[in-house]
Amino acid sequence: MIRIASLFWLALVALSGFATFKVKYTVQDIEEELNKARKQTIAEQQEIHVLRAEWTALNQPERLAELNRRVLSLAAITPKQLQHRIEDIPLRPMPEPAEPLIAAAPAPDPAALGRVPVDVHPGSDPASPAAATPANARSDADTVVAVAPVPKPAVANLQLISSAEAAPSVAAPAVLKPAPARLEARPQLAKIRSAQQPRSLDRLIDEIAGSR
Amino acid sequence: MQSAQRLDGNPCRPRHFKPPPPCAPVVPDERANQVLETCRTRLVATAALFAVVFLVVVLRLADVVLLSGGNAESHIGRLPPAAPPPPARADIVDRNGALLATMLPKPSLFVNSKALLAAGQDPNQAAAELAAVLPGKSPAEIRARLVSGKSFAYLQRSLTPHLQYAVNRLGIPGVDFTPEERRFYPLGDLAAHVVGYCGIDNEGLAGVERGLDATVRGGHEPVELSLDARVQYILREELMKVIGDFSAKGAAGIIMDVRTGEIIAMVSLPDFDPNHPGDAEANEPSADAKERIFNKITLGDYEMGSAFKIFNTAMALDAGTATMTKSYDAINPIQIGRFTITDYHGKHRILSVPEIFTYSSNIGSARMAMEAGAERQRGFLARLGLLKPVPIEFDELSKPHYPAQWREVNVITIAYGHGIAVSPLHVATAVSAVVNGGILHRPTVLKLPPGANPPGERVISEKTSAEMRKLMRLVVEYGTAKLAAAPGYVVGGKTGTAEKNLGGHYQEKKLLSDFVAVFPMHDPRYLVLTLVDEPHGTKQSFGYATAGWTVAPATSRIIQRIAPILGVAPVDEASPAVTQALTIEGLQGKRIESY
Repeated sequence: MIRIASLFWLALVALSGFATFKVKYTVQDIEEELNKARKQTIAEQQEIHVLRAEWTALNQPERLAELNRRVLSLAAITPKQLQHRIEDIPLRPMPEPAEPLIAAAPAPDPAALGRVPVDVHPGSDPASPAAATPANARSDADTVVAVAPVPKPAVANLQLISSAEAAPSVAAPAVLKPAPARLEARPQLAKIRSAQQPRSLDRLIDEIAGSR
Repeated sequence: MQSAQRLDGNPCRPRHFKPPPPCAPVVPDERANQVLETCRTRLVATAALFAVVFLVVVLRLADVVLLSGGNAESHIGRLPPAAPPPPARADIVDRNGALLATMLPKPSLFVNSKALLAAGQDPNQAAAELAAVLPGKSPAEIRARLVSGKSFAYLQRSLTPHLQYAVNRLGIPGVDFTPEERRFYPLGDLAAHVVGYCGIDNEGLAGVERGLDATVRGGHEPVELSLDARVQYILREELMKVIGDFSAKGAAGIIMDVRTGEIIAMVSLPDFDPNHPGDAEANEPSADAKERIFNKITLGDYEMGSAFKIFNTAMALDAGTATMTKSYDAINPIQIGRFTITDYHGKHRILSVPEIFTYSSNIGSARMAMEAGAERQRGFLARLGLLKPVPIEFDELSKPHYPAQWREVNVITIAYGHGIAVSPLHVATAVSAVVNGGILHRPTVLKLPPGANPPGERVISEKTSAEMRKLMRLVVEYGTAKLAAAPGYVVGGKTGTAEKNLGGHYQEKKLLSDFVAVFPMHDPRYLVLTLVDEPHGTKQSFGYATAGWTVAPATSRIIQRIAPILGVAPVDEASPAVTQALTIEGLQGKRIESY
């Protein structure tokens, strides 16, 4: 009986001794791994620090100005370009679901705004760059003209957009003279006109007139 | 026998116990029995205790080894975070976090010649490879060190990270780096005078590095300055242009938030590269290096000329000795002692206070000051902090020069900014107080939290401040600084052109032109003070080198460029909100004669 008990305890001692060593070595391994990871973290943090310094050096305003001069030729913002705050610009009205064709018109290219006169007649020159946009290529673009009998509100809108867009050479006079045969409209313009309900359009004009 | 048998079965029995020979009669001993019984009980109890503890240990081991080990992960938080050793000096960043100064590892490259030769490396080839990487070293020079046989010889000090990488890539045995750190200023000379520079032992020697040496040295968190590197660049570029256009000796500028006293930009030209302060560290720096290190804004003291009329007019209006509608005789020059006070833009008639200010009449200003008196003038300038060094985080501060005895002639000259020399920082701080509603703030180069409302001291009344804003607007609308107008930003200001006083004599050809502008004038946000040292008139300026022709146009360009960055939206200058704030009541209907 005693023998069996002793054997049991002995086995337990041996087992626990083995387990202790196993744990110790495992912990040692993990600690080594941890130290390695910490060292690498520190090395990488230092590298990030060096890179930050380099980033700042590369972002020297003098260097950026020189790069701008060579590559982008951007000019400083003039006060004229900041005449309207973002909250002053009215939201584009929601397109009406009844007119899927117009609603599907692509977002206007800001570069084209105010410069490219668009002939919305079905017989327009297909080679003209604006004619390539789907809204104008469709032969029923006539409806766009039809739902826009009053050019005045559109002009008011347009002025607002162009001054907000701040294209320095907005061809405003050209836009101000919409001839019936050759309406100088653009996708953006057509959309605003047609999608706008008459009442809210009036309110918009009032708002614009009031803010002036 | 009986007893022996009993003992035999007793676990307490020692191993060497032998039962007594059977021949001897065993006397049953009750006492001994009792003792043995106690001993047995205790032993069992102790064994049980040990068994329990041992079992606990075993169970825990089983838990750790066989199962996951319980909540070992919860101890991770107790570990200190892995962080590089704190740098010798904390970073300095601008208000947007752009690095202005940082510590960079600049290891030095050395060779252990013994190890190199022991590794069987061909020194000729190694020298050739190293020479291809290291700038300015010849292969022969490097080879001599590679074969020197010493265990330590420097090849190159202070390597850049790129060089270190290149050398590492060669993989030459025996070549190693010593870890060293050096102060690095990524933006170079852009904010040299504000940030300052460090000595070879990383001790701050100028600017913030010196003024806040203890903070920078001890702290691990970056020191945030109120400076904006983009605004600083614009100010510096425009001032360099002024120097070029008018072949001037130097220029300086400061941009300040008038509501808080934060300095957004500070430039003093010519300047230096803090990465190579060069001569400045030598015991006897050259005159040129001295000039470059010199911070004109904080350390320079100048007679600011007519810009002082801001203080003169504010004093008279605040004291009530003058009102906006009062007029003064500016027909004839004033004779006092050997001085004759004349007007540069003479009108030779009776001028109202707005006219005196707009046309910068010395005679009118002198009469206003004489009326107010010496005591009031001195007290007012002291209240604006113009008679003592500016309290700011720099060590390089000028002590204003002013007459010890405030005589009548001093009263007259100080009225138009002569006979008193202060630093441009003094003027910027005081003018901020004049326009911001009358509160004098302590100027600072440290960033304040957004929306902070630092404490200040009231120096003039709200009403006087509003009147001064109107007057300063007139100068740009109708007066000497028409070229400073920046449409949409409602600029106002005051020009000043002083002849430099060298060795007690005023030099007619050596001018100091300064212009202090504030925008937008109906609700002041920022102050731009610019000055140019010894400008020369050009064809474009019709030969003029006065402030209205030199720094005023530059200020217009500066304001137009910095306003979008600083978040100042342009307004319609004819809108009722602006005109209402800037119309002078008594003058309505009257037209200021265009000069």
